[in-house]
Amino acid sequence: MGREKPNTNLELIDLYSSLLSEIWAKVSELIGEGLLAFLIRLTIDRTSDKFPMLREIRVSEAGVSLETMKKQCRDASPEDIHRACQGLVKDLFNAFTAIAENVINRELFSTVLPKLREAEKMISR
Amino acid sequence: MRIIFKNLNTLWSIINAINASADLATIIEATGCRLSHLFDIVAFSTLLKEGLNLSIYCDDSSSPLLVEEVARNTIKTLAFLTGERLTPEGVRPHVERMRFESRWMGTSDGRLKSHMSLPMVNEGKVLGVTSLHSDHRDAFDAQALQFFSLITYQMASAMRHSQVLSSMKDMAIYDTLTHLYNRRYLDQVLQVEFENSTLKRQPLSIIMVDIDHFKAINDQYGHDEGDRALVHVASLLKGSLRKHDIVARFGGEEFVVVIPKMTMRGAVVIAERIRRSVEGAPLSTGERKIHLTVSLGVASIPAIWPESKEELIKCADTALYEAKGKGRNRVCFYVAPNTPIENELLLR
Repeated sequence: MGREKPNTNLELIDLYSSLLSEIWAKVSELIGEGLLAFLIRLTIDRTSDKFPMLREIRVSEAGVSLETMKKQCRDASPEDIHRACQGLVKDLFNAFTAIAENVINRELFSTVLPKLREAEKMISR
Repeated sequence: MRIIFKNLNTLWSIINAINASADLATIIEATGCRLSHLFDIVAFSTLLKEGLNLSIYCDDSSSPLLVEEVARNTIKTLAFLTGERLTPEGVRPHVERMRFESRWMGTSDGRLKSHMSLPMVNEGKVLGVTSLHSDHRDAFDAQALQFFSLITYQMASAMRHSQVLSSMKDMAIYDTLTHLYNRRYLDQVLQVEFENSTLKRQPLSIIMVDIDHFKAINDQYGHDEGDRALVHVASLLKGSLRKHDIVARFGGEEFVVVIPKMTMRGAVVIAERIRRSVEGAPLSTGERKIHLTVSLGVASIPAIWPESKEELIKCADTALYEAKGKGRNRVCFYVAPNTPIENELLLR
């Protein structure tokens, strides 16, 4: 049991890392790296009031990195990681809606929904 | 394919127009004039935030109702992006109307059904929001967003350059401490006024102002208080003058006032007004008050006909020197030797 927990954590963070990379790839094509980095930083800033572990996410104009989070969250519960990352994605979608209504989110649903389901399965394992 | 090329050409011309513009209104106008070729919209707007003030730039032909709706959309987005408590009901932006010369813009009487509002960001700070508005639902697609992002990015970038340029211009003509014009600008403007005066045979006066015992203020209260004294006197000088008079920091604790089309008599009255205003407004430093006074020297055309602006300044300086010599806190004016008028005004 003690061994499984960090593995689930790492898998979960890897999953969200790949999800954020896909979001980065698609959305940066639409609005540019600078504006996207600004929106992700803004969202992390707001969502981390509720989920402080999100402060470990690094954002630059080159992309998003969850490597520091991976190191810092070894002992966190998978549910907390899931809730925090899910909250971030949800709030990011809200930010996209604020600037472009459904234009960005429409492009992302097919990528995001399967990954969120996969994360839920991982938690209930 | 042809449509894509046409759109890219339009996009290219918009970006060129933005980059060719140096001031804010021109940047917005250059963008607004061409957008209707790219997007199916009824309005384009730019909401700018400067401190607590909001200004919205929109098309001249937009009805007040449309402007209100546009403002509501953009303020909501700005509030979301800045996290500030801005509600469309609580904030009334200053409306700047521009002529975008668009074919479709501003013609809608119906309600707005969709919009894209992108932030203009500089170093993590939101400068404002620029928006497209349509009276159709889901009017924008991914390509429209790509194009509009590029345009917004260029606008933000041009605005950044415009701000840098304007602050460089300020640095070139203003004194950084007092925000009065600097010596370099004074030289330029006085040359123009001097030539005008000589050519058109019209009056021109200058007043040289010097803070009395300034060194003692620095020694007694420190250089910070000395700087505050300079700022204080600068602000009193500005307050004593008309809008088109020019006041500059000449150097150290000396200032020069240039008053076009003003004879000696009028200039002496203004100089005396300045002297009284400084005398009557001590500088507060905590619980203490520092009483300041100034000495002033006036030189005027046509009381004298100097050959250069430098000679005019020298005459004012001579009068100032005389005011210092006669006990300070007074106004003296320069007259050419052997002129049969009294060379002093003791107006205290």
